[in-house]
Amino acid sequence: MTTRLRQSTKIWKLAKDLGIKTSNDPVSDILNYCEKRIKKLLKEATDCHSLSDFLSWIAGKLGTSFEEIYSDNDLMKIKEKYLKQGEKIFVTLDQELSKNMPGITYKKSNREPWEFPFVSIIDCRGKNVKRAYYTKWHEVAHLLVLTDQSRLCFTRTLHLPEKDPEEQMVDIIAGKFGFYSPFIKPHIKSEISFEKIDSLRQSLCPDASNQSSLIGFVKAWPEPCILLLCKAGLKMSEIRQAMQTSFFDTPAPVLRAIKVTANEAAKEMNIKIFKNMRVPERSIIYDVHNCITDYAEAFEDLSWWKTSDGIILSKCKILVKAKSYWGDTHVLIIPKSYNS
Amino acid sequence: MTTGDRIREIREKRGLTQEKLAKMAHISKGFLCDVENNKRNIGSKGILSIANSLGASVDYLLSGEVKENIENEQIIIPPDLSQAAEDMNLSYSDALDLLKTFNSAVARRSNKYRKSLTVDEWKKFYAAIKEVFK
Repeated sequence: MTTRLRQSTKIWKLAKDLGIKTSNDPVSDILNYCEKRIKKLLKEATDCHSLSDFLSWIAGKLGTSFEEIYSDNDLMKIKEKYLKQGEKIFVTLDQELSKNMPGITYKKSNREPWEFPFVSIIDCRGKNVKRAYYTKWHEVAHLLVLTDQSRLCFTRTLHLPEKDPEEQMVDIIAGKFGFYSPFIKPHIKSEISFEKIDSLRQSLCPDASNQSSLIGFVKAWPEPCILLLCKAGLKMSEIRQAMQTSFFDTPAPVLRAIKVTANEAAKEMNIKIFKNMRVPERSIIYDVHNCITDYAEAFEDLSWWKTSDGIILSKCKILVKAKSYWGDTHVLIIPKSYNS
Repeated sequence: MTTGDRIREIREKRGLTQEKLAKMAHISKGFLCDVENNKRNIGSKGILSIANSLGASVDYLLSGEVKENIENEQIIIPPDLSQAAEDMNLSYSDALDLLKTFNSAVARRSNKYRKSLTVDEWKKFYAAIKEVFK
């Protein structure tokens, strides 16, 4: 995803609009620009210790406050409140918010100069509540890279790609700062585990979802680690084949690493597991997937993993921690030394 | 003016008592009184809580810095809005006002590409605003 994003003209334009002298990687350049801004904004924060405090402070410094909507009644109250203040855009608030649009930030047009210039509406109704923390960060990330709006609008085309490149960029910014490592590192005193991640979530950002916490904390962890989401599935060529053949010829799905998140330390060690790779049958991941146990951990070797082309991954001792979470199998892969 | 002076100024503009603001910001009335009288310093958590309760910007309370609404230098009226304005006999300033209102949504979390409005959607948007702001 990042490779395609690096080549997006919209991202190059965004970097240019932000006044960034870009290298060959506008995505990293924009992230560095945001980090510099964040560090500057944090200078006045005297008592900002958790990720939730950090989010509130950065939002406040960027000039927005959050309005959370938990029911249709809340929605009507907020709509009425801002319409009374002469904010015309609120006439369409209920149409704007939906399952696919859990957050929106408005620039206030009818305000006193000393008031917050923006307001961010966060839809916490139903399942959206689990996304609220990340949605807030997404809105804040937009403000971090806010320039002249004309780039955001009028991208009307009949064949729309899956996601706007700028939205993807904002997601990357939100992911980085939603689990910003300087707030996490002081709390890391032991090896990564599912329990440790959950305890960090509860103390640093209780509003964050389990799913986003797993990804966010793994990415922020200073020690090498790869997070896998394993599910039964087909390889791409089998999916294509299944679409062309009859129901009875469809190959049986096998356990695969459907989603792979490697942190920087793992990437630096060149430890890789490729997306959609088949899970080795002798791995304990199978025990958890087959509900023999809810949790299992064991020392294994990365060379057990083989691509569909028959390429075997380099030999490396790994500690595998597999846990069944909400019906899915999540796995932490931690490289270890054979001398340890 | 100090931070305390600015908190008092906005609190009074909002018509709030110290007791009411202290309750809204989850701080004690005594502490708020001391801050307003410049007897005690306030941390970032406290200032943020007061700012959110007053709807005042953090930068204003901390340093008196105000952010005026800056208009975009370059205004491009999209063709569909232009067509809708012509169909509805809207003046240039009405069309511009409609565009500014639409553009006040600066950030949306969405999985989809953001589209500009069609002629009909501009008309519906105008009608919705007109109904509320007659």
